[in-house]
Amino acid sequence: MSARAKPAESSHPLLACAIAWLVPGAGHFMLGRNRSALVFFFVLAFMYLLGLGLGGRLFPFQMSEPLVFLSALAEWTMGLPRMAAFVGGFGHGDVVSMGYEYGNTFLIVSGLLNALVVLDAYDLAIGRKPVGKAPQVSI
Amino acid sequence: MSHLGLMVIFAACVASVFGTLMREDARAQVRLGLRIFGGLVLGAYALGWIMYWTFR
Repeated sequence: MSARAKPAESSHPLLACAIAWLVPGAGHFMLGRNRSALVFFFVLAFMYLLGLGLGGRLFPFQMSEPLVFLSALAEWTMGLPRMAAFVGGFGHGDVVSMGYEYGNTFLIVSGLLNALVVLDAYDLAIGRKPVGKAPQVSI
Repeated sequence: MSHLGLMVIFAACVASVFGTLMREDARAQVRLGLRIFGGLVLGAYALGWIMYWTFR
């Protein structure tokens, strides 16, 4: 069992997760990872907006349709953008439009990527992920 | 926008997020991101040709 790294300064794990969930990259910004925060914010926001622009759908929590339910769950991992799109009346999704499936893919994957970003912020906040040295996963 | 264009944009976005998440050093992040990007695009190309020759 490896020793835990020192948690990031002024880190509150749940607060970091909540902020990271609300705004992509904000958790990393709070933990002092400004460069990573900028990458996450711009890339994930771009993917989300592109998904909406292509005619993707904001799925409802529909228990009778498991895939729709899972898609909704993935999309809700982008907190504030999802709420803003809902309030703004976007994301009705036109199933016959050419970009419908592309849009759904971008919307869902941006949410899933933000889930990874939230988990990364949590690891940084509790010191599970060493500051200054990321786990080397060979690809 | 074409399927290929959207696939390249998708691959670039995914690669940049994974590269940033999995490496610390900026150069290592770019290197990993490029490897993931290349793997996704070339993999999709290869898969496309395999499906073309299999199901045509």
